[in-house]
Amino acid sequence: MGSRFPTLRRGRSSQIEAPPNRILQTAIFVGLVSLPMLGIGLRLVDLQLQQGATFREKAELNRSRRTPIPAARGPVYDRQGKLLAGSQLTRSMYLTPQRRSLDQWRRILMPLEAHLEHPVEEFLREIAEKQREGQLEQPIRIARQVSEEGFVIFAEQNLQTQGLWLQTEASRQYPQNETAAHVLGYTGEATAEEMEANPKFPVGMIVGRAGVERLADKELRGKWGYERLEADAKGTINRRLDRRKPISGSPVRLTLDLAMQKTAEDALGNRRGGVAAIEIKTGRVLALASQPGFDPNLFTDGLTAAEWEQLRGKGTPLLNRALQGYPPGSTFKVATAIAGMQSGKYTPSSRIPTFNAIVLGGHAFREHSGSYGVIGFEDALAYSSNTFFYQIGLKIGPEAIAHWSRQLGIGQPLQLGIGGGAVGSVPTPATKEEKHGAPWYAGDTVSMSIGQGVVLGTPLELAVMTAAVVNGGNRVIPHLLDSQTADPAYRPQPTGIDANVLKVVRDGMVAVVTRGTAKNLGDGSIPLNGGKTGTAEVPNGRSNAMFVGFAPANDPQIAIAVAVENGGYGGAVAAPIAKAVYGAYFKGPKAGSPLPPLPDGSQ
Amino acid sequence: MAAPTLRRFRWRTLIQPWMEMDWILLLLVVLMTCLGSVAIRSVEIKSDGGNWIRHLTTAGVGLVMALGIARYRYDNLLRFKWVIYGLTNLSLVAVKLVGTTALGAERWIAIGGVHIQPSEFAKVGIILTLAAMLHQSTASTLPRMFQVLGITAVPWALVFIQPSLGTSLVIASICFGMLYWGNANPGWLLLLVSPLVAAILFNLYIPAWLAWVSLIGVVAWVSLPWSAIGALGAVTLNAVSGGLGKIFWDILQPYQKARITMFLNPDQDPMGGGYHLIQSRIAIGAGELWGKGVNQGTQTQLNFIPEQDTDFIFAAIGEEFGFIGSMLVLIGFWLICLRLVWIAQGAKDNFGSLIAIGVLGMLVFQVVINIGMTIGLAPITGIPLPLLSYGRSAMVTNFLAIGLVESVANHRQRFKF
Repeated sequence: MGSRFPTLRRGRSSQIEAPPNRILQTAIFVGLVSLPMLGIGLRLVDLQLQQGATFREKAELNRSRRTPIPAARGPVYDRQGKLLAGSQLTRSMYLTPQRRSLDQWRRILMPLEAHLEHPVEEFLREIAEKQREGQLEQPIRIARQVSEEGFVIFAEQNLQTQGLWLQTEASRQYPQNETAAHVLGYTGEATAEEMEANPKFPVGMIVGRAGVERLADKELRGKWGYERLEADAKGTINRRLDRRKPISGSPVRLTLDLAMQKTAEDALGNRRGGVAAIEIKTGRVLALASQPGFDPNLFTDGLTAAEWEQLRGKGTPLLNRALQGYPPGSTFKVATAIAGMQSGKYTPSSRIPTFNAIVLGGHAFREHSGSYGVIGFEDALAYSSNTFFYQIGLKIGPEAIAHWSRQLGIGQPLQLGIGGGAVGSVPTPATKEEKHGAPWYAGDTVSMSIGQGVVLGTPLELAVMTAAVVNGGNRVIPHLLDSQTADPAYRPQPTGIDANVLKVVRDGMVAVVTRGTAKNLGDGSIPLNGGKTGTAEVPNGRSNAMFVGFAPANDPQIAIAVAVENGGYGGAVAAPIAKAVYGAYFKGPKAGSPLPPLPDGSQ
Repeated sequence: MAAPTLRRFRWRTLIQPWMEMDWILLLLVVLMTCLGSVAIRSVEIKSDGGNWIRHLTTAGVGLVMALGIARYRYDNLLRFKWVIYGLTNLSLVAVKLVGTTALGAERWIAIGGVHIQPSEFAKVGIILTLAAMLHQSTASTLPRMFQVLGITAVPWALVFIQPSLGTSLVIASICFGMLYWGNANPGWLLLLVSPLVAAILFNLYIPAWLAWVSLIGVVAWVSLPWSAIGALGAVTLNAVSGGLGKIFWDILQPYQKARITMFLNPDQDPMGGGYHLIQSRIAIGAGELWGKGVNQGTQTQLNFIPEQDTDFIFAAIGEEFGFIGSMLVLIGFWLICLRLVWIAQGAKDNFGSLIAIGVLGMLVFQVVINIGMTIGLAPITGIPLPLLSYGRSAMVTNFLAIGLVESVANHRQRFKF
């Protein structure tokens, strides 16, 4: 080959040159060319064949912007199909951070400033943060319930080409405003933690935060749809890739009766207190009122800090007082009476003397008006004799009272599932020792037997206790969802209380209305009913007014319990509230009549 | 019946001047150019750009020029080597004086409304100058090698200060390829790049750096005429080049530094310097086996890859034509390179042989670095993909180079028949 290079031979250089070894050089050049290209080829095998699917997915994510389409939250109805919570469609404005400078974003957002959810600077911070994390396609909502004016700006500034978009959303509306607020609860956007715990939640997911909204969240939520749009590197939308329609949440029918609920809340008025009304055979909650209340609509638009402070502040409106423990006072004598007879130490026909007072350890426990002589259970309940029940309590002991009051539903775990409540408690020497480290005195037993001291029962529990007296001794499990009535978990629990015991207590409670402490309930404006008043002394201020009752007396349908904080006498303050609720009940559909279909045709 | 014979006869006389040309090489070049045009059209289809037509027309002009050059006896250029060298340097100086700035670099001069990138043409100028020099006397002695290096250094420096790091690297690749083919001792060439390697190894893995320094010592001992001093000098130079490397590093512009290191981990700045790399890798990977089809690549069509009709055209090819298309491009370039080696070793004289090697050094470096950059194997250096990237100066340069090589092939020893 060297022969092809004549110049080498006649080279002017004085040095002797070895002829180049062209074969080796050629081989080396072929190697130098081929090896890097082989490397590239192998890399292509890795990128395109082995990791190809991953990269295709990434490319897909790059171009598509998936925007969730909220499902309308299911409506909530009362038992008669009256709307308690509905959804209204609104338009929200979104953007994605993209690769755009904050100055450009400021220029884009400034004209919209008046319509944004927060100040522009706040969004710029959020955009900067998302950009830093590389979440360029993560939507940020900048405005909700965009007004006509905001829409005009959006169209005029041609913001769609800048990567902003409008989205229809459903916002929760509570047409009854404050009515049943504690039962309905409220909704809110899922928090960062909830989003993490539920990877399937779309951005802006609305979840039930309290009350039925939380209890029936799964049914109400529905299935959100989505829309996938194709966006280029600048975020400009090209076209729609696909779309899945949202599926609206299912309607939920409550056991609540709107008229009774309203009546109960109005009757409480601006007093602090709670009312519970249940069906005695099933435990369906017809009314669960608590005052003061709040407007759950506030939560829909997002609470201001001031509003939140107010809700947490004086009067504690978020507190559901129908589920707060109160000293039941004399309404607890129903439980003491049953415990006395069930303990075997007394019979329904037992008669014992009453006194002006009973002295124990140097302290006089008084009757409120003087001795009633020798009386039986019926009279003792009718006149609410304290010394009668002191003696029973002392005789049967605190454990028996605690046992039977729990059987009647006081201090049983709550199964309403709406939160915001507590359970009552009935002390025993063991629990006192445990909680307070103090020994049990006979005085404690005396206080306990008339529902004072540390005995606590919620209005709902007291209603359950009352229902047991008139439904054959079954402890109903109160519930709010119509569908729960058929659920075996909510089937009433038999307590084993003797029918004769129940009869004498029931007679006693009717006597309370006919000739006892709640005669204002026997004025004939409503069917004959039974009840028990209570005036529970509280450490500070006026006594709490308490009342439990059932109606009608001859064929009981509903049980009621009322608590009015610092209201005064139970018979004068709490009983009239029960009367109003009875009135609303008897104006409603007859017991056992079939429920009307829901407005949207479902059951 | 005489007519067909006549026609065939005329046809043969018409192509007679090109008969000995390497038709396979020319066909491969034309095919690559057409594929480039298809890819550029796909990139700009949404914006109705006309670059794909300009790409083709420039290539057409280049093809005519190349065919003209192929007819011309390349060895006539031998006597013009200093004219060519002078013009090359002059044009590069002109860029500094009247050039247009883009991306912090002065690269263009406008002549009659056409923007010309002299650094592209400089590559061919340097190939011709070095080929002529090495033709007269090979680089088998150290002084001659340093003479050649000195001649290269002037245009190289002018390109480097533009600054156009990529092109200056291409020139270095041309120079080294030609020196090796021109009989320079491979040991010397190794010694020349050894401090750079030492600097990199020093910063990566000290034991490797130590091994490298000892290896270089041996190479110097064996290859240099004054073994002891040479070996000592080479070892010292490599040993201190950890520090030298830092000095060299500090000379670089910040954007060059970022470009050089970013490819190792583009996720360190996904919105900034790493963006090209990440998006181009996604695009190529997403092509999978068959690609998404012409004009169907979402990364390409939705502008996720900047500079995708020029430096990142391979991303569009990878996404839309898939592994098959990418491999065809790669194999196409491989065959072109093999043809160049074939022409180089079959040329009638050293001048022609060296021209072919110079062109090979230019093409192979650009192909490897450009594709390597799009798939994350090489830093971003602003080197276009020959024949496929849009860029008219580069296109004309490539066809000039191919024309010269074809002339070499066309005028290799003839066996008259």
